[in-house]
Amino acid sequence: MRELLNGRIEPGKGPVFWIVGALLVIGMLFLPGLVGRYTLLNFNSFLLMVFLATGLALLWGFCGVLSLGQSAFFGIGGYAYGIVAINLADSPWASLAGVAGGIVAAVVFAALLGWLTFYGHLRGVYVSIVTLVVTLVIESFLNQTAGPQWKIGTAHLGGNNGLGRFSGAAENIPSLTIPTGGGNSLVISGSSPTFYYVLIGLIVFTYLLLRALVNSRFGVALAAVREDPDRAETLGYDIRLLQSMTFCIGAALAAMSGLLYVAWGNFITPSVFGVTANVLPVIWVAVAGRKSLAAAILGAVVLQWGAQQLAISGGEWALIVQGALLVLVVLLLPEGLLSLRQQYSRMRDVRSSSLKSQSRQG
Amino acid sequence: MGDIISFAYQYADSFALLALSSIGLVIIFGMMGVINMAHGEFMMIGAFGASFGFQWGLPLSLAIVTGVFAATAIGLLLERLVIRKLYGRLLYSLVATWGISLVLSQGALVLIGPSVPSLPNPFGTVSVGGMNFSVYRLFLVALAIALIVTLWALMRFTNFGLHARATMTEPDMAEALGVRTTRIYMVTFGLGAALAGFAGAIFGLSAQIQPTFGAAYTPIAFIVVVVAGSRNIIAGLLASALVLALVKTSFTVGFNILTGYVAMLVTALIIIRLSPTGILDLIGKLKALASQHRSSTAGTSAEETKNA
Amino acid sequence: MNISRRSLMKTSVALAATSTALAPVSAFAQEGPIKVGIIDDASGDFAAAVIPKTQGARIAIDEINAAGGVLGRELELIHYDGQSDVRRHQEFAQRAILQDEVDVLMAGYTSSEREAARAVAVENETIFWHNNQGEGGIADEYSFFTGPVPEQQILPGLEYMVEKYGKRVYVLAADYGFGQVSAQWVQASAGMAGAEVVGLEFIPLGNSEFSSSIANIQNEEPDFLFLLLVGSAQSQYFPQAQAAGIAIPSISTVNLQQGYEHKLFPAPTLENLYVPVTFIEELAQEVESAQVFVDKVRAAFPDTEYVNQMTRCAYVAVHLMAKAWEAAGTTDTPAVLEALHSGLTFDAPEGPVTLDPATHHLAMDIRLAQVQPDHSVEFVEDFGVIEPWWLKEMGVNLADTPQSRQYLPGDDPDLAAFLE
Repeated sequence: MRELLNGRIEPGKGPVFWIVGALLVIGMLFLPGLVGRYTLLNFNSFLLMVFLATGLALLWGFCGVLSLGQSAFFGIGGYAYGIVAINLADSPWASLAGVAGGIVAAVVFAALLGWLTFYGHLRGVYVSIVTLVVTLVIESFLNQTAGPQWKIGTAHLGGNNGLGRFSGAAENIPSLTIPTGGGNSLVISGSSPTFYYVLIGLIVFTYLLLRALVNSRFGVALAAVREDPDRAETLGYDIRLLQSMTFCIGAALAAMSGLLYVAWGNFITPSVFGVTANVLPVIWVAVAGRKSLAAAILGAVVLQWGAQQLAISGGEWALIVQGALLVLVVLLLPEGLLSLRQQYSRMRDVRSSSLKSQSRQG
Repeated sequence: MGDIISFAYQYADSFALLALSSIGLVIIFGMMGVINMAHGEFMMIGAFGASFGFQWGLPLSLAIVTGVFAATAIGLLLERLVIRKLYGRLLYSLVATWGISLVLSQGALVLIGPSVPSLPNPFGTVSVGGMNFSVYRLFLVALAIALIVTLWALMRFTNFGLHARATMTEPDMAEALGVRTTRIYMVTFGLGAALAGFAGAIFGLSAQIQPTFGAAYTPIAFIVVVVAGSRNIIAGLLASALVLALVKTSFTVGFNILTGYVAMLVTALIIIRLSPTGILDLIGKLKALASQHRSSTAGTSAEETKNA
Repeated sequence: MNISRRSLMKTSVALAATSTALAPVSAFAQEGPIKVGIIDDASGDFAAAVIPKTQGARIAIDEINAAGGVLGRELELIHYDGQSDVRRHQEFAQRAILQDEVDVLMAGYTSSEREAARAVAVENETIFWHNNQGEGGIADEYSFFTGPVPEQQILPGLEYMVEKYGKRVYVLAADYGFGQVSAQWVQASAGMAGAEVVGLEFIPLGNSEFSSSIANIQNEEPDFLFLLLVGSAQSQYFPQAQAAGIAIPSISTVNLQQGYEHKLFPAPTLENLYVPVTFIEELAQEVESAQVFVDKVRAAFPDTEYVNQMTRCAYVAVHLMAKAWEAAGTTDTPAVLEALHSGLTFDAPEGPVTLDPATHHLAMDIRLAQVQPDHSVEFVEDFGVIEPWWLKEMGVNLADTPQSRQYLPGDDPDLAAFLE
């Protein structure tokens, strides 16, 4: 276990890394006492996107598949959560059933889509375009479901206005609710410290789990697929199965974000399937460094915060600054901010590698 | 009869829109592999440039040329400053060009304003079989075909075409043989931007010209280009636009616009699934299958005769 | 635009400073400004239509501050750019309400943006205004509306068209909440007017290709068209229809007054389009107070492209809130709601309006505009002041019984009879 956590594929190891990480997490536990309700609510909305980002980092950074359709799973997770929870609104288990429903729906859909792409021998940018097309299909379908006939059980899809928002008596999508026995239940609203602690717990758990995964033999196989799919296949790896499985894990993580987003704000519209929504996680991961789960987590939170601050204070220049920053990062830091670290270690290794190449030439 | 003419008109119209809105991208993505998310913004620049040209008092044709120049100039500039550094890392071109598209569309909003006047449409109406059709839309069809033929000739018969094809397939070899590949990349990107700008300017004859004018074209253009495949991008573009437009028009006429749109997307998915290298290979596979089938039936009938 | 806005803000701050200096020092002055939270799209898809909306609110706030503020306090504008993005509307509604603690929130252009922000406002018991025309039917304790609703636009407009052109109507409607409900209203209104809907097509948002719809219209040869097309992509219908030689008169409750298409497309693209309006810039030809308003906007924002319906709606909303705060003597929500239920009136640019306590919508003057071949506008009919009566038919009286839901035409048996 220790080897899995401290393995060689995910960057960051040694006592310093773990101590700093642990201190960071412990420090974050004090946040709810320090900030107001709004700040916590807002911060929660950034944190809940972390799963989407780590799923994409796993898929793109570790398996070499750039999906432009992660928000399809985000949206499916969110809609499925809402639909299940609205239908079971009277049960204390409504929201937990919604969580299960959201993840299962996304994984099933990902398996289908994985069959469509990976088993169709699609690679590279073709996978990106196929996944993007799929989300566009879902978006255009959902946009026109405002009519009263579009409902699943008691949940009206509501078209462009959003799930449950267009049905006469508005159906409220339940918040995260945990039955505590005896007919009581704990409602965890998006602005509550409990929601924050649940997120922190889930993020730490997910990070450690994914870390162990990418450091395991599975992770080594993924790296082989990423570096050279043909060679990996020749070596006996079932690359389509590996890609599909990773795709499903990424989908489950995206769905996690999606359902938490709905539980957080009790609101979801088809715009979560749009092109912008699909490109955003790619930007977080690319800017932070796609080959590190930790970087993806930090990237998702920091970049969302930055974009929001720009929108608040930058006015009409916000999107221009955001766009220019993206271009600069891609040009100056080829592997995202992570390349700063790599540049440092490259400098350190420069002597040994030059020695090696000399000896090879000789 | 009226129905058939009407269907043919709608089909041709739909084909022209798909072909024109993706023709710039087929160069930039199809040839170079650069995932140009700013494709629609090049179209927007073409339309803005044309609108400005017209307001300055230029005749419409020169106004359109102004738009093409604007898109080309910005395209070349971006190639030098940004795209050139990304040729080895094409997936990252997605992030960079997305950033560029934000800068371009929001920059247009801040510097120029939320909208500029549309261009006048000099074309009239033609009446066939009791139905009225827009000459402008028929002009788009002719233009789409003309552009595809011109591009094909450019790639097939000119030195540039030869060098470009060599650069795209074997850059190192081309370089070794004396092709200045960086220049080829630059010219190719500029050509793609010019074509996008031209399409934008032409569409501006019949659209509200706003900073977000081009954004909707980008995903559709990608779909057309991916279906077109990488084997022979010009012939692929023709086949892709013809097939997708046929599906779209049939379902639109049979059901409604949404069904037409979704059917087109689903068809694109099916084609990519069956033939990741594009529609031409799918057609090739189908042909091979048909001839196999023919020969096998011929074989059995021959056996039957023998037995008899 | 930038410079003018900044200089305007400076003058308004200076004016406010002098007025507070002159005003007697009161206990209220210690409370700080009254915060008006606004989320409008200053960038993205809807910027062209929505930028004039924010200008209306700014002018109202500056006017009120120049006249000494409200309750001795200055009005402070807290503006966020919604970026034409639903999620931003949700985020900024939370920020405005929970962090800035605004005293009122005005937000949303599309119905989805409106619902994203409104849900947050209602949950936190904050007064909410939506300042452009919509599909109607929303009955909510905290939500108020300055734009016209179907019974004020669709019903009289359709009756006029039936009388003038005939009974066969063809409908093109944007395929989302607003378009679908409005299309039902067209169906019901047609039924009541004895007219026949010979075609009804829903157009996906963002669709800009109309050759199939145009062919269908040419086949059907209706007497007139009812257009509920939304956004710049869908507005491409107009040049395409014109190029295909469609000369059928049409009526719209959306175009002109929001997206000023007649200023953007070359004449005569929109010839013979009718629009029932509360306010558009051309109303200045007819109404003195509209001219005053247009002059005011153009003086403050010389680069503005068009003074549209939303400029007027936002302007009216801020003034009505100021009146409510004055009448309540406080900014506490229950007292302000009571004041808003007192039948407030205001001299809007087009004439006096009354805030109906039962429905939270405005009784307002509606006129029918007709686009001429040269894209000038003539007003061919004045429907007078129309009450927002439909929700009352549905038994809604928000002044007495608070509730929160949206009524749809299907909920009204009289209308449902005409729906398919």
